Amino acid sequence: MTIKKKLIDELTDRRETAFAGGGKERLEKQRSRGQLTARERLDALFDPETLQEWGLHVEHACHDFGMEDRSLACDAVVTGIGRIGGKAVAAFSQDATVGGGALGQRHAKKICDVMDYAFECGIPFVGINDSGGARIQEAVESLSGYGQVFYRNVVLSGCVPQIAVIAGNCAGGAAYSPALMDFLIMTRENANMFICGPQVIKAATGVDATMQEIGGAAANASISGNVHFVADNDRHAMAIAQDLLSYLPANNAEDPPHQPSRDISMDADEALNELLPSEPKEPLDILAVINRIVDSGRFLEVHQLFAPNLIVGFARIDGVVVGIIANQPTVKAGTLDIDASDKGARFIRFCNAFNIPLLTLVDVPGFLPGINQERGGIIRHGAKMLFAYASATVPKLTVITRKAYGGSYLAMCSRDMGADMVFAWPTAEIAVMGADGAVNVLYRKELKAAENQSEFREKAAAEYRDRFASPYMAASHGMITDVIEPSQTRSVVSLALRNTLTKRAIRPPKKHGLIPL
Amino acid sequence: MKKLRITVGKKTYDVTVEVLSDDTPAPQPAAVSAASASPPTSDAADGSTTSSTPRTLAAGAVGSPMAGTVKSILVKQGDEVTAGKPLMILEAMKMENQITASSTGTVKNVNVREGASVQEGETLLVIER
Repeated sequence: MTIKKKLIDELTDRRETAFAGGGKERLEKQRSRGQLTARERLDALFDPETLQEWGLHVEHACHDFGMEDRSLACDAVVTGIGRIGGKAVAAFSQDATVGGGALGQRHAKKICDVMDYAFECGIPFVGINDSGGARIQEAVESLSGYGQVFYRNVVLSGCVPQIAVIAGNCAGGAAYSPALMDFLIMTRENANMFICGPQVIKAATGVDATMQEIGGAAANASISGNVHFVADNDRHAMAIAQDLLSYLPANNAEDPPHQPSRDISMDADEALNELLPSEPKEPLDILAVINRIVDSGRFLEVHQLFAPNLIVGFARIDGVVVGIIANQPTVKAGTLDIDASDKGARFIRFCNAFNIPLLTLVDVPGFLPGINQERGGIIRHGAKMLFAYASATVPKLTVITRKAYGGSYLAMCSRDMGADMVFAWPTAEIAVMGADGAVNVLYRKELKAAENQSEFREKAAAEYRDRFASPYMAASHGMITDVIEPSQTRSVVSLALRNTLTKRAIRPPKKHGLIPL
Repeated sequence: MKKLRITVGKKTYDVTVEVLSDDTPAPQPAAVSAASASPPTSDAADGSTTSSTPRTLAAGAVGSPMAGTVKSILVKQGDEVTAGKPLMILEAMKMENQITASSTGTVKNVNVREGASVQEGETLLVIER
């Protein structure tokens, strides 16, 4: 007795049809644009042969508008569980060769099924978006399908990491699923993401807008900040997703995959001492500092093209995973502005949700002055940084390299924001404001009466600088754990990280705090 | 001369006003964030054109990232520039801020002089591809 051959044959045929997606021609056309097909993307994402596909045989549910005569392979989406670096990850990959990749009821159900599984099993979720949007023929069912996906994005949020790849069209309501996820990776070519496209904008406002201006990778990455990574192509996008996941725990109940080295080197790194510019006016490129602090100079910068005056990203220090936030003085003097505050707060919140320790490098002269900033709400956006740091219960380490003035000093994880340890370089200037500004306030009467105003001002500013614009005033009050040489930074931070890894801070139970929005 | 209609309580007055001086600052264009960054390797911004500058700037225009004073101009009209080449030093927030080229091109025009005060978004120079 053995299974009937025709049953095996039938299964084989059905599989072949499903694997063929929208057919050879359409698959080739997609490849000719420099893209991978939906299945090839999953192959590139997952460890070889680890994809266990769900719902290969699902068919669309539409019986209107002639749809009952159309067969759509896998209802235009491939879903399943695979392994990345040996760890289980749930994913979907929309197939634009099948009905344009449009989303209908069953398509949405397939995505929801793997999301439900990711939630219950505590594994990361990756979504590869490449779709014409809602399947109009399915009307409200399509819309509801999106709603079911969004709802689950929110349920999963903060429980398992969610990464969205925009590999093709992702327009209108469809953009909201990636928008609800943690990191968005977009391919430089062939991908668009927007709510209202150029035609709609023209019809509604009369204004001509190009796709590049509003929906391409460049605009989404550097202007609106919707996207955190721009990939050269599909393969690169998958590689970024893999790299990102290598720093993250599978879920919020686990620690990140620290690989702590057995020993920590306490050697000084003289190169760090030599990085410091001779003049305080000259900016210090903080990326050069980060490069020397992290293991092998490997730093996965996140949101690189948005608000470059603040740098955020993941790295390891002697194997311990850390989220780094640092002012970048080579851009906008390293000031904090609306975009930088949003960028920083978002990253801090992600690290906190997933138990990733925070390392903050401070060199900030203040918040960016300007009418646009004030009217744009720098008050409530800047407050996000304060909220994010103060509410974070992960280990928080701060190193003040040079300037740390006023409210921006507090906003960069000062002791009072709950930093566990704060270190300062001898070049640190921790003060309410810069010397010149302070002199104008403190010596207003004397300045008026002075014979030689500019000479008096210079002398008073120099005195102020010596007394207050140094780490020692703050250190004397116990606000600084220690003053260290730049060359000691890596070893000091590494040891501090090890010593704070077991931190478990208790907060009073409440539904959730209200981060200024 | 400006004609205004002013309502005080229940009474409305049509008023003609002669404006002697106007202190309101000119409206600012949107913030430019990418013009002064050293170009990252995955920079998708197309030179200094539409993607990184507000809609009001011309193609090739390099806008000032923030309000400040032009400390030194490092290039002149006709110079060839490559991505990352320093073009200008802008002094702001007591720091020297380097404005760098985001792509290859030739300096078509330098729009400011050393010592000039500039606003956020103001065109500093124009680079032709």
